[in-house]
Amino acid sequence: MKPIIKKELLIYFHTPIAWVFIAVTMCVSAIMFTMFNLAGHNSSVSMIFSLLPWIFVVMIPLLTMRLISEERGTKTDQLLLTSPISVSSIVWGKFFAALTVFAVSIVLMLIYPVILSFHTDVYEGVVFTNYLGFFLLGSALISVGIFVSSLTENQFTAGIITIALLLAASLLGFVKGSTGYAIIDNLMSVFMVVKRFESFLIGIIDVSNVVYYISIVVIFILLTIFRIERRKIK
Amino acid sequence: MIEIKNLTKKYGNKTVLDNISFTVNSGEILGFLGPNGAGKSTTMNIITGYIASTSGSVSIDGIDIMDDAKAYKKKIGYLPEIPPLYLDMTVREYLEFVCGIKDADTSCIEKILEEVRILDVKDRLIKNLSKGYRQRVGIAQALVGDPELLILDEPTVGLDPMQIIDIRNVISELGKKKTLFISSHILSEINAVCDRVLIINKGKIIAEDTPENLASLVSGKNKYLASIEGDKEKINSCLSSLSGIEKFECKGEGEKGSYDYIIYAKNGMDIRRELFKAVASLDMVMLSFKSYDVSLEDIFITLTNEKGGEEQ
Repeated sequence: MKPIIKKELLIYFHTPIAWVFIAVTMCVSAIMFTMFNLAGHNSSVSMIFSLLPWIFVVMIPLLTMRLISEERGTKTDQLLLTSPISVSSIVWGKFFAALTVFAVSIVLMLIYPVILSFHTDVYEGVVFTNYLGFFLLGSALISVGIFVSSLTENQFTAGIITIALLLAASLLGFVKGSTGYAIIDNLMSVFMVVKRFESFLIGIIDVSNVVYYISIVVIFILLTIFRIERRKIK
Repeated sequence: MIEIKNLTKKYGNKTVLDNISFTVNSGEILGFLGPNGAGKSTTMNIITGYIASTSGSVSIDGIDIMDDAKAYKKKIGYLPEIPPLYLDMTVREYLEFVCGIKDADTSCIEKILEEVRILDVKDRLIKNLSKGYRQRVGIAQALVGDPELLILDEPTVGLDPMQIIDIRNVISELGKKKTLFISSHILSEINAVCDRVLIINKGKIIAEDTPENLASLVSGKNKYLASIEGDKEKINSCLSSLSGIEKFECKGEGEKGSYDYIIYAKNGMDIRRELFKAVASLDMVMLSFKSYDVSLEDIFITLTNEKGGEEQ
């Protein structure tokens, strides 16, 4: 798995992908920090963090869209799949590489609570919970993106489908409860990836939400592995 | 080394490989010849484990891919038709990555770079290399891990004549040390480097032999081209009178006052002396005489037409 992580990170940073991802997320979060915290004299970073998932919904497909589709499109998957390395190592390697780039951007965002700590009290526990939530949310979104990338040879198609899926899953939070049917509402809550992040935002680590995000990761990574293995047989 | 038994591959209702069986012996250079779409790449993709067969088995040195995929794959170095290169990496970074996924030591990189003659471009991005160099990087990745068997799918396709000669030289050098299985639709290429040839058409192996034996298969051995100066009637009666000649046909007038003939000798007979003496005794001149060189092109066209005809 290590060579795959190394290779993906190398490509991320040799091309503009990682730089654009980090720059855009930092830029948007900095604008929000300036508006809500500095200009608005607010000591809570929750406002920035409540909007950031929406940025990630659009930006994470940038990280994941090429991961599998490009290998297929350029036939480099012939090297990977004929080498003595397992498909699961390949897929997990790609997942952890994307997660690393994502982690770099959220680590850089630690600067906001640090700046605030010079002027006001910052609750470390809440900040930690926020960051844990970010990490889990990012992991889940990345795993969905990787799965979509395995469905097509065209990375832009993969990117657009991922954005559409993640947006749809996020928007479900607004219609939940309006159908009047408990079964449909419960079914919807399975797909509300961003909604689950809200409890982390107020400083609560709900085990069911942690399990939910880890399950999403495992399910979509296994689906990706299955999809690649299946293509070999077809 | 490789043993392929009753290999079949179907895509839906379409049969791409139809129950093919063959072996690749250790140390030999085996050519795999066929028109585009005949099933060459599919066969190679199955042998290398990129795709699975519908039925049949493939084993290398007795190891079946289904039993121990890792040990099986370690024995193969594969250059697909499109070299699997990451254009945003330098040659060295790329080969280090290949070492990583093939569980090989990176100390072999220098030797491989030297072997395929790309030492001078090792720190350049692959996207900035010419097609010939990219092909060599592709061969270099196949050599990582020192596999006993190299499978090269159309290794010279899309290259210019100089690059083709370069790659052929590299392949010939590799053939001295490793077992090679090379596919091509360019017949002269196979003729130049291979010990044995397999011809595939429409998913079936239609011939398997040395290039020389395949040539005799289409009766090239007893066929001669002659250009004789003299009267056509006189030449015809002269050729008819010779006991060693089975048949002949006049291809028309060649140089002024001479006629070109294709002469078929009776099996195993050397007609040269008899023919030259007979022509001279009738006061005619033999301007040229040579055996008819059957090219792999002739063999290929003959065999594919024969089999195609049989099927129809």
